[in-house]
Amino acid sequence: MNKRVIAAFLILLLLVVPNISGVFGAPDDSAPVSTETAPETVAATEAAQAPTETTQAAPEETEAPVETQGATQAPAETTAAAETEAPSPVEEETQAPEEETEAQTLPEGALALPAAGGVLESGTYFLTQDLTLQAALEVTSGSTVELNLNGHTLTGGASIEYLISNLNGAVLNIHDGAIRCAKHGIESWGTLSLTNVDLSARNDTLNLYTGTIDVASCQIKATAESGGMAIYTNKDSSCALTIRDCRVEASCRALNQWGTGTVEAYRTVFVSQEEDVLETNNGTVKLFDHCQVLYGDVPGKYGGKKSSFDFDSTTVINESWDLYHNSDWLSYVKEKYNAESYPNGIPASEFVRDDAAKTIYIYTADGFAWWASLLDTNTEYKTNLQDYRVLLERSIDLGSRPWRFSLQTADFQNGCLDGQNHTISNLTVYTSHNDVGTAGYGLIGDTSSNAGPITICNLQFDKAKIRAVTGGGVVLGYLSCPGTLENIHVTNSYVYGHMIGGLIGSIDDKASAAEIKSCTVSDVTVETSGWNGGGLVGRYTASGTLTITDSHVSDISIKALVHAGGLLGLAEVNSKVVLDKLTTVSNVTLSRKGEYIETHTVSTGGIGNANNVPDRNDYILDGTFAGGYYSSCAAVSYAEYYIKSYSTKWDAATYRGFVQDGLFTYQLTVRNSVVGYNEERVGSDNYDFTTHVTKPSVIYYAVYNDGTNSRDVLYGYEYVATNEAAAGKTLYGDLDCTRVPWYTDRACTQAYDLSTPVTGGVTLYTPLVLRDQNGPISADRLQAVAGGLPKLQDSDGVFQTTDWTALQQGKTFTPANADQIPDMCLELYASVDAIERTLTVTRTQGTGEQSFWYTITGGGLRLEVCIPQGKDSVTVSGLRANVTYTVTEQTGWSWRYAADSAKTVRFENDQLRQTVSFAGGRTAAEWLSGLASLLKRGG
Amino acid sequence: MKKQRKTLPLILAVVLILALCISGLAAGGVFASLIDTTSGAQWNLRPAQVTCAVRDDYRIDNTGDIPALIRAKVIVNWTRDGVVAAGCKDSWSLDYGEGWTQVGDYWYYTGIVPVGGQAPALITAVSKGGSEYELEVQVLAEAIQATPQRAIEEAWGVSYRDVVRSE
Repeated sequence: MNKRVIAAFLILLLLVVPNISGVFGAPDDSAPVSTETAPETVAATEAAQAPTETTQAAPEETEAPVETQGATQAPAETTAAAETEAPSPVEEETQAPEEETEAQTLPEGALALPAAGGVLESGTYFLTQDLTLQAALEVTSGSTVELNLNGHTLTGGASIEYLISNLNGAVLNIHDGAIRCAKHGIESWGTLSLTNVDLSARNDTLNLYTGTIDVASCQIKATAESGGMAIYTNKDSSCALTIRDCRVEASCRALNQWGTGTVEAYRTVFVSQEEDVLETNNGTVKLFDHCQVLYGDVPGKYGGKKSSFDFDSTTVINESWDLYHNSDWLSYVKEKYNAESYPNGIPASEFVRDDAAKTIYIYTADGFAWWASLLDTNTEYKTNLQDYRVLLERSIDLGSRPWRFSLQTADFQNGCLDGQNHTISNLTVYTSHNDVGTAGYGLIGDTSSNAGPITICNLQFDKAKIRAVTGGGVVLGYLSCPGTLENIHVTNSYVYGHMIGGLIGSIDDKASAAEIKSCTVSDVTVETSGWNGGGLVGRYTASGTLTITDSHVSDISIKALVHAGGLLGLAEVNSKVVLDKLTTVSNVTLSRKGEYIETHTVSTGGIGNANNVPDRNDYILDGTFAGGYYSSCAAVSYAEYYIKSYSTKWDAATYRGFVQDGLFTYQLTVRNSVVGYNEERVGSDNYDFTTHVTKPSVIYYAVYNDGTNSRDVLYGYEYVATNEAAAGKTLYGDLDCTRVPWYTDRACTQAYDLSTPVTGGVTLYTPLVLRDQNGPISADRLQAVAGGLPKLQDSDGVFQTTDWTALQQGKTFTPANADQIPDMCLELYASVDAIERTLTVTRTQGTGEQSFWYTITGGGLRLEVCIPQGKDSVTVSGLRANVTYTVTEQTGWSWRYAADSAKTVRFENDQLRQTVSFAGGRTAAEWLSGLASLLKRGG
Repeated sequence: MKKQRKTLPLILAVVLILALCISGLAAGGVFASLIDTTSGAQWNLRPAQVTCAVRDDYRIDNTGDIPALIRAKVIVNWTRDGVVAAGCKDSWSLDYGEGWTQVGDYWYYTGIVPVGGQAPALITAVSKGGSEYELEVQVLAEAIQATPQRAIEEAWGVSYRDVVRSE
């Protein structure tokens, strides 16, 4: 008796022992203790499960009952087999395991499914093992049949057309197993339900006529390599089909709704590998709750006609794309905060309107949609919000339903949407069936000419998906009024359609002025269905001016048929684009899409580090541009020159190219009608600007007198200067970055050593060294030769007489006296920019309660950085290429955490960003302590 | 045999009370009540809390409920938009307050901070030269139980006597 009591208490004690340290230690010490107990728990669980497994194994060892399905049906199988000319592969495959399978007992009252097929009487049929049918099954009118597959596979012989026919007036419920059909699957006129069934057939896996069909948690697959359809509803018939949580897959059409009924699908994936995923001709297909339509690799279109798809019926979906209930955000809030309660129906916790201050405060996604609903084209709550400032007070997630908003009135003139640096995530705009031919998809889809001027600022977008017919951009689909985007940042997003851009799809002629200021687009894919894809703007056709200032495009992919550019896809002739300050394009991948890339005489631009460019002719610089980075790159391992001179105005084009040696990027600007020659081809042929420049190179530029404004003369031929001194001579600018002397002052008196590591931006100057066939000539001589230098107007409106030293970096210049520009002029400046690399140190464990600090050393640098509590990363910029940095966690501070070993990182020439990550779980350190931190900016 | 029978209930009772106490504490996580049924008295057992807070003027409060020692790490960087600018070499300097001593990478307050008390300002002045960047001063502070002495020696790896100069 005492021993049992002692034992009981010992067990009790053992049960509470794991918690003891949680009592004597600090509360926050509990984590490591519980971690230590985890293996014990697992072991105990495994021990407890062991007997269960033994028990489950027991029935398998028992002998099969005498009355098994296979045993009683054996004679019928023999008969059927004798009548079959040759066993099909299906039969061969399935008969083998059938012999190995031990049949189970037939439940009481259940019927055995006859292998010989035939008409099924009402009742519950039960498979006790896998079964191959020799003839089709039929459920006739008035019968109610339940077929419990019981986890087994029902297989149809090769000679069977439809394995099961469910006739009009019949009720058939099939569940829990697999059905394999050599030809077709199930045809039905009656009431049919499939639950948890893996159904496959070569074609027409489900062939439906009339009745009600409910399919849940099933896989319906047509296995034919081509032309297969998984679900087919027949013409002139009407059935009601509901599909829930299924995968429907076929080589041709996952679903062909030829009938007049309605198909509703919920959380279902439709997959096609060959042609159309879904097609409807006479009926209706509705997709709810994140159905997915997955298309294979071959482009194509939906074949839908007269359908009421809730999604784009005109363009192919070749990637995973969530579809939603037809209730978009604006419809949703209009219904939720209905007209009766307007305008005060929406709670102040979501939307506050201060008419006196002309300010609207938005706190939630509902509130944001409510603001849009007050302005939307189709709104019944038409509201004048001119001059209002709309402040987004928090970040919002718009992912739960689609977004469509069009600004077609003057009700937001001079309005400003100020995101206050908050983020709109998961903005999802997609085309619908009714959108064929319409334009404008984005946060603001379309704008009328009187909608602006409008300003959108201080807003970030993450995970936006825009699917446009025409005019698609994350911020604006079509800008048809004056507008300004400032401090907008788009990342991790996808834009699809015709005339599309990371920020704005298209800016048309009604936008007299547009400005993009301090914006960035990164980690974005722009994929055109037609033409014009740009990192910032897809197409710019306005006759006004588009000013892009201090904006950056990086790490984006542009897939286009024609006209793609890192900044702009297309800028039409007569449009004017001013790139001010430092606007850069880097790491842009341009890829060819479709069958051709058209050579076009209008412009594309903004190409930087254009990897994988398929055709040199798809980007042509032209038009009237002032300054700019039409072929820019920075901080890349090599620059791909991308200039081809088809000037329609001899004094118009400004080209910029780069030569890089791994640390520096040398930017050269040559103005006016200039064609380059390489060293080997001096005077004979054009320099191939598509050649990858991987090291400093010598490039010579011929200077032309283009008074005739003749393209034929300009392009590809030398020009022989006509003035007296230069007659019969060709002039070249010696632009060898390594040999030309560089200076830090405009007067070119302070020499600069190019081998000096650059840690910050620096502007260098060089005197232009021109030479003729007799050797170098001086600037003075050239000036005399040229008969005077042009006057230029810089971006500040200052007229300058250009000398042969450099112009200041960052300014743009336009000829102020085009008619008086002398026969020859050539100007040059070079900028040496430090290529800064960025390193992010991240922490995956313990950031909620512990601050961490790290040292970064290498290349003469020793830097301390901190990840305070609640943060999980710190980013460092200004690091250099070809230097190995070591990041070391200082665990003297984070003593509760195990230390990861130091990590090294090295930036190669083409690497701009890297990340190192630390983890290090908690230790069992037990002392009581607490942390705090203070961050003060500005000292 | 007879002696064992008399002592067994007492042992069991002690074990039972201990087990209940431990279980209660473990489950509650904050405190547990222990009731002496003979006298009717009740004790609330509450694990100590050690916390601290850094004020805007760089003073550091002991906001816990037991005396504590305090140390701090100061990290200063030039930044732009929250990103540390490694290449910026512009100058800056800090003046440190009285009562603090630097050992290795950290600053230690040389006294024991009582409950509700505070360590004086760690930094008394920040000077900086002109820069296009923003100077960011980050102070990480940590409080630890003042006793036993081996707490800071084990956790912080410093000698108690090197840090605490007045008690």
